[in-house]
Amino acid sequence: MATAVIRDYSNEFEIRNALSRSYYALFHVCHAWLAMQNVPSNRRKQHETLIREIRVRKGKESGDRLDGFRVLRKRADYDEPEFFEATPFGGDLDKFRLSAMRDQDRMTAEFDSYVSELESLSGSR
Amino acid sequence: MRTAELETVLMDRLKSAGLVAVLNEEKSQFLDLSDGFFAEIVLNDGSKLAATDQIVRNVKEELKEKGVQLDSVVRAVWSVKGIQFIGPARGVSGGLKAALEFEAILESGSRECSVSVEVSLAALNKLREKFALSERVGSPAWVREGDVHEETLKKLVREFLDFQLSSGGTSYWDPIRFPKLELKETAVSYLMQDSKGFKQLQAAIDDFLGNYAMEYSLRDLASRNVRIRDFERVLPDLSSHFGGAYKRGDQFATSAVTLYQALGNLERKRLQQYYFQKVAEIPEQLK
Repeated sequence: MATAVIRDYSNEFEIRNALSRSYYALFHVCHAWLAMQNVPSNRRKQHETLIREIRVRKGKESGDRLDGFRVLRKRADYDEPEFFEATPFGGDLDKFRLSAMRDQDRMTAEFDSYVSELESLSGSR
Repeated sequence: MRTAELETVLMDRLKSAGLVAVLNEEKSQFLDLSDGFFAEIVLNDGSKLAATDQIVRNVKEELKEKGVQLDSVVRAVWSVKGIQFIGPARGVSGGLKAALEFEAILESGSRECSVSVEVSLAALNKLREKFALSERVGSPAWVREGDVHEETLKKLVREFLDFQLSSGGTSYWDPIRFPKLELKETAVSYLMQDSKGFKQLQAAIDDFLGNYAMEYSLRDLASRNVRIRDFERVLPDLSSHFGGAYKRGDQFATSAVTLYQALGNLERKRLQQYYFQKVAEIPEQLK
């Protein structure tokens, strides 16, 4: 997560890259969190099954947020060029960057909360 | 059976019992797990938990007879009503523990419950570090004057409880069954995170005085007649040590001085303390 940085002068490629990497950081920390909850590995390998397990173990809101980030990552990686050029950004790099920074902050907050729980779980074992 | 059918069955039963009004539809969910179903019923009123739980149990039994597996969670949404400081925590035998005890009242609709939160000594020490109270770090006793403020501790306990209560699904915290919690050091680190600027400057100090750069850093300062303990004059040198995603020589939007000036007083003080602590660790012959 620390290496997925959006800077004030990041270009479209760097922004897309940072969003994608942030999601994967979150995906992997969720994977670790589920492993600590003894969820079998076949239930945390695919994105959809992992998100479903997060819904079961952590609630609907956590699952919805993670699914929202999954969609965002998919758009960042594959939605070319609509993601950046269509509404609401209309090709405005500053708007796109600002929105991506907010999304990334949300992913970082989510990531940190899983890390915190993992640290507390590993400390109590 | 489909998820929608299960939802209809459960909702009809809840409706007949007059419980739909307290159902939190945004947090409740019904999932198909391929080997069975999962239902999470979330209520806005904790006084209706027992009645709801009984309904879900009945449906579970009925489905079991039909060979359908249903896993479930029935829980309530709680919020923190008030927190008070009790004093040093005590063990079962009455002996003092290395922790401070707080009591919190939680409410969910018309139901209230009381929970106890013990702030461990390690957590208190972490807080002391965060508030630049280095002279208090390690002290086993908490004092009202010159230590972390009671109001700050209460605020932290509230945030900790909010965080515990925010989890749903099977990992939710049930304050009625588990009314005792321990607030540990890791929780302080998470709840009171350092600013990005502080983290960047702290990492730059680590790099500046780390194994690879220290010799060069000290030689460079000496050549300019800058004393290592002169923090203000050393600060600009940290600009070229922003690590991680910012490689050396990479363009960086902010200088170490600007970043430092943007910090709050507390973080500035803590950063200085951190720097002097690192300087103190340098072997005397190198200084």
